[in-house]
Amino acid sequence: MIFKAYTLVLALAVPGVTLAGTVIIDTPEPPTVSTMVTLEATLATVTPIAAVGAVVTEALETLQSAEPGTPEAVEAVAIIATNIAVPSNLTPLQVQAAANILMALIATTPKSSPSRVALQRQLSQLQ
Amino acid sequence: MMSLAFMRNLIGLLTLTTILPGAAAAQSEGEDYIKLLGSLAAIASPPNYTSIQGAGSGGVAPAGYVFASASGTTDETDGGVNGLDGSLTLGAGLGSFGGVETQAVVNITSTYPDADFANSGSFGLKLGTTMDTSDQPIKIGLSLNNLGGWGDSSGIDVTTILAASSNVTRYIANGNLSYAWTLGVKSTSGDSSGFAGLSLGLSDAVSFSTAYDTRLETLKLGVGMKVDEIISFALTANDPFDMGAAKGVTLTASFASKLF
Repeated sequence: MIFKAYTLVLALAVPGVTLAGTVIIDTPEPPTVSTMVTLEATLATVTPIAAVGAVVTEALETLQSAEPGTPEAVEAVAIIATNIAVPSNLTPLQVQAAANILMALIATTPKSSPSRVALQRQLSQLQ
Repeated sequence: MMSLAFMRNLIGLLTLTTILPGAAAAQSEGEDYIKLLGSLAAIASPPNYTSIQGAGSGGVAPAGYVFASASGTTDETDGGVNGLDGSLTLGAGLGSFGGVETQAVVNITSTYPDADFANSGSFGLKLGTTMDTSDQPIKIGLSLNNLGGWGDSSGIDVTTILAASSNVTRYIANGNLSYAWTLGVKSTSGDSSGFAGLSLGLSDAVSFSTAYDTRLETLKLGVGMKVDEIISFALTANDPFDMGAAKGVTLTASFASKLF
């Protein structure tokens, strides 16, 4: 795979020319890193919530194996999100931020999913 | 002295006490709730792709991640042939030591496949940590480049880069806004300069970025494209507004994957 990427860039940028000289690379961060770090941090934060029930435990297990953005991950996230207690002392800005995120979650959750209804209920309570 | 890892665990523990039903309230209860909800949303709907070209970042590859980047440029640097230059970087995330993430790289600066491949190059080391904030975490990295060079790269002064950067996603009513920023200083033999970069995620695979260097006093514009979770490309216009630095275009192909 490394050879493939290297060969491709040479073919596109510098065909048949000797290359030598200065280091010009600012190596980009691996694309997957941000999502992976987010996932690991979230799991570390949420995992103890599993104590509240088997449904959340199962959702956490799903998250550990599902690819982010897949229907499985969406469903697991929705289950976990609806099992997080909404703080009672949110500021108006925090309410708006939370509402936006919940709306984003609702938009990604299939209409047939019971979790979507639960998310909508949570959004109503928030507003 | 408490390690950074311990502090992180402590902060995580405090976070949990705020989100668990019936748990004691904490000062940042609302902030923690928003952060956790945002993280969950990022898993359900991954943020748009962001990638800053032309400026270093504070990010360090996680343990077990290996990466390779190959670049070719038309700009007027002091190497290359017929106005073209190139290099190859191989690296890996080595893991955390005392709460400090480490990454090692090898830069190969002679890249003609059949003649002088790997005849010159150097090693580099990057140390980093993640600073939790009330908003998105900030990654801070210290890079040491040109360590132990060989061939044409031997004897080159070590370049030190200190950078802070962050990836941010804001959820709005109609979707999300993803961007990344980086700020830093670069120093070689006491000659220091600053840099800044900003990237805007245009989709889950394409980003636009701009970077500014205080020593060169020039802008770079870049487009990053993620092919899949392993391979990405970046095209950078160096000094497109003719501000006095070497003009040209740089194409970079990168590979990154968790291997161990």
